[in-house]
Amino acid sequence: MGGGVPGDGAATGFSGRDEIRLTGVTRHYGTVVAVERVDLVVPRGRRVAVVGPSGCGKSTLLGLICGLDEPDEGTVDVLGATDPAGRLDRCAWMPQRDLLLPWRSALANAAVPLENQGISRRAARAAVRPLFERFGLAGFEDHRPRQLSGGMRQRVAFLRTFVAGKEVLLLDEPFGALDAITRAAAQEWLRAALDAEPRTVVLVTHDVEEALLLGHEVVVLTGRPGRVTSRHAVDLPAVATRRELLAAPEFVGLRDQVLTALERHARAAPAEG
Amino acid sequence: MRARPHLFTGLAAASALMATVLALSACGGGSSSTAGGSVRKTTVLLDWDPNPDHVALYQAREAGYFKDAGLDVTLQSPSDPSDPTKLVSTGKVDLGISYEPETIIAGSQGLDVTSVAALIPTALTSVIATDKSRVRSIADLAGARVATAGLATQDAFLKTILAQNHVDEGSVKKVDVGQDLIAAMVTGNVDATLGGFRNVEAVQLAAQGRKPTVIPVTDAGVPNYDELVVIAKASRLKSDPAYRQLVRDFLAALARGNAAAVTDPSTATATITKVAEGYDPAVLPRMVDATVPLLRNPAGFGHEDPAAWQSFADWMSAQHLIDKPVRAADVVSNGYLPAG
Amino acid sequence: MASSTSADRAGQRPPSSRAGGISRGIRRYLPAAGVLVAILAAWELATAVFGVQDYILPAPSAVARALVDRWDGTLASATWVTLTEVLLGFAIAVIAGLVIACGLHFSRIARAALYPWLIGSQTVPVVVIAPVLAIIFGYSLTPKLILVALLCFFPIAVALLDGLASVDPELRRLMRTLHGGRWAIFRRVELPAALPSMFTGLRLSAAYAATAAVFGEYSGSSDGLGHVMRQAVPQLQSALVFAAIALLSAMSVALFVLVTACERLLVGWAHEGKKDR
Repeated sequence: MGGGVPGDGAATGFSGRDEIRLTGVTRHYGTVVAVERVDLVVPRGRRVAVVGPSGCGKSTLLGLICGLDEPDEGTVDVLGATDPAGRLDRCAWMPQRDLLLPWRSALANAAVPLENQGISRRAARAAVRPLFERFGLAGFEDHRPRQLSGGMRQRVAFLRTFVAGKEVLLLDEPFGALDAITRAAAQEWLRAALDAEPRTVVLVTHDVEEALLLGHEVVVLTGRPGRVTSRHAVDLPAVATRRELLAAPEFVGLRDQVLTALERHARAAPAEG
Repeated sequence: MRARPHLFTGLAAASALMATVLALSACGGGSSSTAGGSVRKTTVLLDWDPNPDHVALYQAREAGYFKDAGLDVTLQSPSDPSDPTKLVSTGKVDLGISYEPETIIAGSQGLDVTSVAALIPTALTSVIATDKSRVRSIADLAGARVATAGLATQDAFLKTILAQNHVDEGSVKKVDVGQDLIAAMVTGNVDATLGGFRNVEAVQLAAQGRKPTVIPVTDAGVPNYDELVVIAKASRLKSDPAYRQLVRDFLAALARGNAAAVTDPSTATATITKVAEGYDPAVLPRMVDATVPLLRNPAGFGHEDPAAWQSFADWMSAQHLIDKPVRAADVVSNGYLPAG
Repeated sequence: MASSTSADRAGQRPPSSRAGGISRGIRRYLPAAGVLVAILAAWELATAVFGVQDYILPAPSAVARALVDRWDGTLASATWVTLTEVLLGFAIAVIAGLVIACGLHFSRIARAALYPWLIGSQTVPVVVIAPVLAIIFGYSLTPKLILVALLCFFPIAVALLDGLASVDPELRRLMRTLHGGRWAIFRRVELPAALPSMFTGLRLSAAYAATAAVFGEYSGSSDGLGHVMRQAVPQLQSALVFAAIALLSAMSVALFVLVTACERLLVGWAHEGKKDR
């Protein structure tokens, strides 16, 4: 099981157990090509943020990674598994809508992945309860989803995803439905949570700042069909507050790069049809 | 195949009654007798869908006897057998076909009806059992399952019959099966039924090769009664001379129809076959043949015996079928029958 | 009327409604009770003013008197018999509806093969089925239970089946990544999500159950409200007929209320926040 050497790059084609590797992945639906010849590497424990405009295939990528979908061309390797069942086994997916079960309390919702594995309700809930404190949700265990704000619901949804105990987390625009202020707080919360409990994360978002705040690497996906146009390593100074971070020159520079990449392609896009 | 087509009862009765009333009002049922030689529209509400018991009525219409008497007669099927009593009493129809027990109950409750003729001057209701059942006589009813059509009168018949024949009532299991008396017997779900007619259900069973045992209730201890009677609105008979004339003319024509049916059963069969639905055309002639002898009335067509009516009314009172005792003279009249 | 947004209630429990609940319940039924009283009053007045004979249409006061007078002798045992038929038959219908809907949900072949027959089962008129059942099963409780179950299972099965099929596909996908197998998804997601639909079907069935029981009694019975009605009609005891009808209506309403109460208990989550029903 252990002992695999971390893969060192696309060139060798080595399918290590310590990374997610997409090679030349293409997926189309009828005549519409959702993603085309996408290459992506996500080392274990690292977070990659995929940025692009709506409809560029970002969500499709997540479906392909987690095994709910199969590419028409290319390969998807998730920590050593290339078959759908193996990939599904390793990935947990958090969609844009929280999809919390309205008839269950927050605690019961979070316990679902454990119950699905056959753990008794009582044991599952007992196991999940301490996490509420850790994730800043203390006191809301018995609330129904409709009694929670949007931000709280996303946190519970994330907690549920986390409880599934999978190494890979696939987050699809997790804060898309929230207003700017709530979103900012949620981003901070998620970053802290992931720093404390590292996972291999592929995060999809249309918000460039969010990508830079949360990802170790930002991949820009553009156009219809979705193609990778640029990659940017995220190297930011450690500063105290979010405001300071947003004002830091490294941040501003990176944001500019990413935005330029997006813009360039948007202008070019009409010609490519 | 059931011998008798299905009728709605109970829940449907209330709304269907209203519908019948509406239909008849639309048809112009009600007071319609005009004086003089012009034709008088007359509605007669039957007790049931057309069947062999109605041969006299349909023969009279078919042969034109009603027309000869200046009557334009409509024979209407009811939604429920108790409709004629109610609608004659309220004046919504001119005449009705009903039953002696029903008429006595009506009299006891103060309804405005009088029986003016016996259409069938004897009992038809019988205890019937197929040859597959062990029942061959009333004594065999001990410990048996007996089905009735659910009428309280039939329950009382059964009680009287068992008592008169010294059979323990407690040993007999009674079931109300509604219309499906034949099915109840044929499937063996019951050992015998009470409520079928000796000229209809019994004939049906015989035609199917079941060799039925048939015991009319009046042969087993029930006082004699007229199975089918013609009823009219009592107060109107007293107050309306035109109505009295209408009734007389109607009964005279009906007597002719009755006589025609008795003398020529095959024509009667042809007539009734045209109107009776749901009967096996091969069996209908046999039913008519079984009916015709029962139409003979030694005292003349339609004659009702007031003494027999009184005995029957007293019996009903003793059986708690009526609350207030009834005087036969109040509910029966032979005064409108044709002479001779 | 806008439902309050979750943001308004973040971190708060909904206001406790227990204190105002009872008087609110009474107030909710007041208009309906008012209509009933108005109808009864008009009816009583009409029969008196127009001189309607009580064997045609009895006045409410006559019906009430019949209810009281005939309770001990006739109506009490009849009500009990019919109530048994209704409750047991309805219970069978619920179970049958559940089993059939779940079965058709899990097997596409079964669904394609059996769904048309499901519908066909409802097209045969009751007045034809009832006597046939009596012939086959005799005059015991059985044919009545079958009849009630036959008529009542269909709305339940169809409503539940539709509810199960309407579950958000994205939710299903999500569950698969959270260790959810077919059975886990069914019992934790599909079935609870489909319960509101099923209760719609239950409420419909509750309205039919009493009528079905009466039809069963018409085809062979020794007791029951249908039996009483059929005996009372030829005896011109219209007040008794209407008394039996009143009892049947009360039975239907009671069953309906029972179903609604169960609904609030099991599916309360679907109704809070909606307009007061």
